[in-house]
Amino acid sequence: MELNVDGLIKEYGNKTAVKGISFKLGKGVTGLLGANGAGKTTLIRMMCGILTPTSGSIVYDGISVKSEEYRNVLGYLPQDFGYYPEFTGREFLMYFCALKGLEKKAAKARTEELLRIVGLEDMASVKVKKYSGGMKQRLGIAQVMINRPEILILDEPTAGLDPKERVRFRNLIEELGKEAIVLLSTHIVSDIEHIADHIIMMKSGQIIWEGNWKEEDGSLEDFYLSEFE
Amino acid sequence: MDKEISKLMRAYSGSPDAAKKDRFIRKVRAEGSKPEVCYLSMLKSQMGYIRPYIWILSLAVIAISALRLKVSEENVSLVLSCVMPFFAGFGFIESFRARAYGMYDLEMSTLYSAKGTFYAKLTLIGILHLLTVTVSSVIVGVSGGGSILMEGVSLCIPYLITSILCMETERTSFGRDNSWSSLGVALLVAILRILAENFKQTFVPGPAVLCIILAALAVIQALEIRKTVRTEEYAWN
Repeated sequence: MELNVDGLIKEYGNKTAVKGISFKLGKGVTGLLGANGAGKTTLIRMMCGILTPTSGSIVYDGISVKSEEYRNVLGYLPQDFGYYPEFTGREFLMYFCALKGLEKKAAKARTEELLRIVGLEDMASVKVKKYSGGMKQRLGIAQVMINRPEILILDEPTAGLDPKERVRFRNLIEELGKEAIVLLSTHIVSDIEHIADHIIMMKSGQIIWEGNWKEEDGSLEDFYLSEFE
Repeated sequence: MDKEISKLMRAYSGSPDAAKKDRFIRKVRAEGSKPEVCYLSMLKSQMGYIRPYIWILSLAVIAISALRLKVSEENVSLVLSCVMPFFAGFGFIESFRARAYGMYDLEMSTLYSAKGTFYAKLTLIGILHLLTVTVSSVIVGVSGGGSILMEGVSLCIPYLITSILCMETERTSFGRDNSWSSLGVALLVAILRILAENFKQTFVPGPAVLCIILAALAVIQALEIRKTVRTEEYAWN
């Protein structure tokens, strides 16, 4: 189980958002740290097949990012995700079950199971627009888990969550990391301090540090700040 | 199994390593539970997600054409060709809902991908609109004693012009952020269609010219769809 990113470059006109990034990810949680504008979201969107890299490659155990096979094992939670205003929580999940190729019967069962796991079974028939920020994030995580992904890419998943929700979310991610490759992008150090040993730090479209932060002295926050000075 | 035998077997063959386990799980997934990518089932599932007003609009267009049976007015043709831009505009809004409501990235990372969903919606709405235009052309053509083909051509031209302009607009950040801008485009095309009616006295393009214009617009439309699908949204945060 290895996700290999090699020499990734993304140019928008004369701007280069990602400047030749290479790394390998294995099972477990990896934190992607960087300030706003570091190129994290561009990198993630390429890893999810949303953007085509200007050059470089993304391969998971020999499977290209462009293939259906890759999308079949991928789970992605974007920083901000929308929903059709007429959707209830249940309809939202059913829609994504259809897009992830689940048969109607299997989709119904999986939807109910996921609503239970993320604690939204009582809100299943309520329109998503009436959900709180935390509920929407939980629904997003449920959507990610529909196809039991082997690769999970989460972009700023704790943004807008209250402290209690944040801890709950962290625990869930930690659990998911036991069975899958999890890439967790954030600019909040405390989000990944407890659940990720492997860290990738980005600045201005480049990796400025990659490795096990616990092998360094002090807290992750101190280490992160020292790297950015 | 006897514990001793089990122990001996493990010593003989060794326990599977993590890599073998991963390979095994993937093999089982590939053989057993990998969902089939089937465009037809995609069309079927997307049909339920097209909002009712799209179907109602088609019925309304047919109802307007049916007026020609009751009222022997040439104006019905003009009214229909002025309705066509709005027909195209609403169809466009429906096809591009994922982008307008921030669902594009989520859909893109699914098995069928946002492009697949977009093409499915475009196919369904396209078939519906083609059927509507065909039925309307037959009704208006037959009841007015004119050519069904030419009636169809005169309906398709404003439809395609609107659709092309909507795609051009969608590729701008203004168009992406304001999905209703396509109705502005539709209004503009409808006004131009009315103005064009005034030139009927001085310049009437022949059927061959109209057919060439229609063919050219259809090619441009296909190119516009391709360009729009390939457009990548700029993200820098």
